Amino acid sequence: MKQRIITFIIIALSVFGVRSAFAKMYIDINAPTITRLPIAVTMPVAGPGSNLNDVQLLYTTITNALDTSGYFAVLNPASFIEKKGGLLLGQFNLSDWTDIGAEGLVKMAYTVDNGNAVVKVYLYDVVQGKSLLSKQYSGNVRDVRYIANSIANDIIDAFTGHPGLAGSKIAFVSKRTGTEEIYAMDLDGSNMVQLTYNKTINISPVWSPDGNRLLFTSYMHQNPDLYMLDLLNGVITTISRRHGLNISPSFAPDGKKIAVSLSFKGSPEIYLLDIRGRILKQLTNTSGINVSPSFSPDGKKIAFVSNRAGGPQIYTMNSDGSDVQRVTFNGDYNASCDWSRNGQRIVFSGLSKGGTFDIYTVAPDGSNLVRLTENQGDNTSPRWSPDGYYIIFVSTRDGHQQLYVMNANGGNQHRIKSTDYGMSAPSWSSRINFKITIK
Amino acid sequence: MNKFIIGIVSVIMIILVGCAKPPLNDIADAKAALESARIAGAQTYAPQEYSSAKGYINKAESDLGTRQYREAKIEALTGKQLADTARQMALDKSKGTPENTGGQITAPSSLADIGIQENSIVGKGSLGTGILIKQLKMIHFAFDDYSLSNEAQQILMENARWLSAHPSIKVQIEGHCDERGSEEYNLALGEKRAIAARDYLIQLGVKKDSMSVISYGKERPLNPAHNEQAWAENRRDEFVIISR
Repeated sequence: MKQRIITFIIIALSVFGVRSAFAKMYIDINAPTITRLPIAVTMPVAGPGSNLNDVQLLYTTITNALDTSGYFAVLNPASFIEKKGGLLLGQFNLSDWTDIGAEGLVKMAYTVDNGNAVVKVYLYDVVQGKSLLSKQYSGNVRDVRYIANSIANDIIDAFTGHPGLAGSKIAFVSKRTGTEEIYAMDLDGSNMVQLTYNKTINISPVWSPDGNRLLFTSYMHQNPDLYMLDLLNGVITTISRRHGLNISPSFAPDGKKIAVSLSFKGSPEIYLLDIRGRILKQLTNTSGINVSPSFSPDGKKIAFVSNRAGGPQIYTMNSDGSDVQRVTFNGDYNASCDWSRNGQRIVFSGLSKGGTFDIYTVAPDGSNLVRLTENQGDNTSPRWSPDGYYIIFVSTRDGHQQLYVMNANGGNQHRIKSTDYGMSAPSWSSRINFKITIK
Repeated sequence: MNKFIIGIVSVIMIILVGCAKPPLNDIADAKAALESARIAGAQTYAPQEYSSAKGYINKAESDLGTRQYREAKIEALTGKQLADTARQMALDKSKGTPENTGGQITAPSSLADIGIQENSIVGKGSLGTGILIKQLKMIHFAFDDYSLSNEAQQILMENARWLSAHPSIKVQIEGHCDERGSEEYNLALGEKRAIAARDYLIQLGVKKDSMSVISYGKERPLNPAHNEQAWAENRRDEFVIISR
């Protein structure tokens, strides 16, 4: 295992104006289909002392994040007709933007002051000629990418009523080095970092709610055991090395308890552990298979997969193991469940009649089953985004296993990153403001 | 034995995590791992990792002396991870060399002692340790199923005869699945398949303590193709000789 060094990033935000108090919902993220809002983002006006590479990085990171969100169509700067215009309302012609089809407009000024990058951001509804946001962001010039993430999240918030997820990370498994190792990357596939190096099998990475830790199963000691990687100091601790399986971990919403499947008594059963791996309670007791626990956001319920009725199906129970209810009845194979952060839906992968695996969501009481993928290869391992608005999953639609993201309603399905090697077992973190690096 | 010591120390380590005490156990753990790496031949096969691990452990001991416990703990844990990596690299690179295998793999000369010919070896276990021989045949399963077919039972009877005739051999039963469906459910299914074979072999008179089970789920397919034939080949139990 190589040493990992973590650098903390601090982003100072100072507001010198707030967006209008009355909230117009420009983009309804719960609509069955979402039409991307055309937005123009101008290259930031660069003040003295600024490095043009940083200015470019700022622009690219913001436009990538807006595009990746699925809510915006970022207009090509080649189509811009504005010759000369200032940053403030009245200093530029709204028609220069409405004429090219823009509805939103982002103007920025970038200056460097004593090694600090200062970005002034102005966001407009050019159709109504209204300011939506004017805000100043500052931070170390090294951290332009993180400043850009904050700006992109605020722009998304202004149009949708919820902040964007730029700055959150995807953990996943890849065999690019020949064996299954765990990696993390940004939502747009950039900044990929390898997190395990033991050359055995590492699977099922799961973020803690605060994004600082990852649980995973590894064969580093010739058995599928449970470990936790602390991303703040790079230390891996053993959580459970009991005989047999120590698999399919899940954090409770408080980050202090872990649900996991252990087979040391003979059959894979779900147990509740404390953060050091001590058993608090055995939650299931069948002679079959019980795996993939996932907590409801209030921590009171757990969804899980069991074959107690034959093939694998989704069930729920109270977090003390009582009141088991079967959720899925459609098809012979439903597994990989994940309970959404707003509590309203459970996503899972099921074997469809045509013989492919597809992504479905269902209400926790088993009602309102919705199929989200069809005729697009096998679709497995779905996980919610931390805000519950997106689903990340694995699909073979382009040949081999790659990671895709879609809206909660199945819209805007797109591949995160194209690679020659397989990618699987994604997990989506909350927004984290530190950089994961390896030396 | 090493695994045992590391196991004990790991348990102590878990209990101590977060306490501001001298990380004596972490350092002992790291030293044990380093010794384990040395025995596996890490100085020869993974010199960089080995010396880096040693460096961290030395630094941990020196920080211990100056009461910088937090730093010492992180250095000890890092040293242990590096030592584990070095050991694994050494094992990977020195397959078949008896003194470097931590006692897990049988040397050719000892194979002959227990009646296994060199030409009986048909492969290695899934993590590169242990050997597969043609006398112990694999068995296959139906989709999402861990019951033993008649054919599987016939093969297990033959395997039981061979194992009963070689009572000193220890075998690990590896349960595997096809690539379809959930990774996690398949890990559980693979273990059920391995246990089904073990329990049947016990019924046939093979000693329980001569067998262990492990599941690799869908992670180690025999046939990498994505079709019915490959899936059928991959739903299997393999019998790996891990020591004598």
